[in-house]
Amino acid sequence: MTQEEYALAVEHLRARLYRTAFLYLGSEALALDAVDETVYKGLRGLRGLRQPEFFATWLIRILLNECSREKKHQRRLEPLDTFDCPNADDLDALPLKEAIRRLPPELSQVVILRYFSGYTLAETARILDIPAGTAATRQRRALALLRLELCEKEGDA
Amino acid sequence: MNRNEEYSALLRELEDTPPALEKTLPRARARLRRRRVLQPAASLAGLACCFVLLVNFCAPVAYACSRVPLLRELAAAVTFSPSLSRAVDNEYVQPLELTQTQCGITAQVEYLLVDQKQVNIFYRLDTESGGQLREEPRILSLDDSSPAPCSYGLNSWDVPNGQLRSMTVDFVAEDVPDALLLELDVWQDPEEDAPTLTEEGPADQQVGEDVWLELPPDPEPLTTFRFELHFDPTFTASGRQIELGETLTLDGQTFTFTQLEIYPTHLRLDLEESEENTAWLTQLYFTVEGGGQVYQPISNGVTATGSGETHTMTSYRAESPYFEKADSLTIRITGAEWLDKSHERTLVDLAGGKADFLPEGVSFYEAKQVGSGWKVSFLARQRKESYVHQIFRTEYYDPEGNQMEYHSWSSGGLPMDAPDDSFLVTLYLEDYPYDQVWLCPQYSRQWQAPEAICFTVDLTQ
Repeated sequence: MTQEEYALAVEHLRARLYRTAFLYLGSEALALDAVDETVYKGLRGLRGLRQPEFFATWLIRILLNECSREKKHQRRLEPLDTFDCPNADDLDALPLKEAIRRLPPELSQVVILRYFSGYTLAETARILDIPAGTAATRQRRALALLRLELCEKEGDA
Repeated sequence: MNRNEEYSALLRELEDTPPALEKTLPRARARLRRRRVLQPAASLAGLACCFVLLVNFCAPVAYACSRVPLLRELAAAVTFSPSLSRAVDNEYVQPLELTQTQCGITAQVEYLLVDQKQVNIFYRLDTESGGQLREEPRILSLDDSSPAPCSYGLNSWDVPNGQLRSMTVDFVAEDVPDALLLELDVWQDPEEDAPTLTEEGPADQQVGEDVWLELPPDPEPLTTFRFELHFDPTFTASGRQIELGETLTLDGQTFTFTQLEIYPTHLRLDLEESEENTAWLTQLYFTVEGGGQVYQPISNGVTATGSGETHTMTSYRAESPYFEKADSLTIRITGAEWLDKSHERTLVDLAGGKADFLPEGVSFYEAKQVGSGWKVSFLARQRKESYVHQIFRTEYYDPEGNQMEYHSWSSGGLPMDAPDDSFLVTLYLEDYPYDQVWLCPQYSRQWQAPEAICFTVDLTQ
């Protein structure tokens, strides 16, 4: 993939990257930083990409790594109880955006990728490098915790 | 507004992206250009910085000034083991200062936690050229460089360069010798931390329906370090053995608890089985209590060992009460896992999709012919949330009685309709032309004692 092709691909994906990072990190500034870092790392690592057809998967994985790193950083700064594993009742009182952030990372990743970034279940599983069955189970758990009733069509839109 | 309305509103909100997002690519390009210019200057600054750090924090200097900071780091490195943590708290540590540099990589062995039966080695690997270092150890006899009669393994993976790593060397029958040779093969992974895709695509596509998972051979190591480890005899003599002679019946099976071995790094509870038993003991659930503390079975590394003559595990590990003051200990047995002698093997009809006996909580899921072999899956119940366990031993037999061994099993790909507390185990029988197979269950069933069975060990003798 040339740098020009990379530029076109990034332009096509950047809104999706931003939405993912914003939901994951909960702040415009942090999301922008994560996208910047991702696009920079993608540019640096372009030579390592041997199969351009997996470009989107590759770039979103870099973004998720960045978001996880930032979350760890936040975790060091915030009191631990902020990140305790919540139950559905705890989450009911929170706005949806905040409730998603309070989910365990393995659940929030699935729900963000499926219902906000527009990836199918199979794509989500491939991005997270987990079996599709595991992705489906996590999706089910996440939706139950959030008390969201979304049909497959909405998620795939 | 209900949750679904909130969802729609959030989707609409996310349609607007900040204007700064449009400049993300120019920013990345500018940063890449700056990096290329600044790299040589940064290297010089880094060297100067390293010099200052070395002068101030180099291990021998710091050690000479105060042992506290170093032991603090060691304490952080042993949090995976309550016994090792207690040992460090009690300064039960043999410091070493062994350093070698080869191919731009520095290896430094700094501490040992050693007793009569176990050696824990703490070391660092570092390089200035970046790129994550990884290693594979070998433990050899110092006399003739033959493999030492022990098992060993790393305690952690992906430890950042420069930080303390550790490995555990475990002796079952023999005692720790006076000295051992540690060989460390070291590889350096590429510096790029972005994930890269292989020619075959993402990992989940590499294990397809029609291919067997074949890992590429590891490249030659970049370098191999060799360290002679000489143990302080005070440490290698540490440990005590207490005779027990306590015979108990557990779920109708009889065992004699013969010895309690207490070492600084762990505790061993040894037993002998009665030949009359109808089941082998594959797991004992117990705790050790004394001095107001409860010592749990070891969950990392070696948990139990057997003689190999039967399937019974005859020596069980727990955290160590070595550094505590207790006059007696109470062994509290709460359950067991059995392998019935009548179910040492079970016939699985691959073509017909059924099995004549399966361990408790396990059901046949499916068998598929894949290439020249079979992929056979079972559903099993989790014993602990998110934990999977092995269902079958690795050996299996064809209908003619020939023994074979499978080299890979996986868990995952839970079917949509499976209970959440279950997991799917898949075995790969390579080059297997038969449509029936004898598998060897790891266990038959678990047993929970209606009431804990206890006995007391006098430590004052």
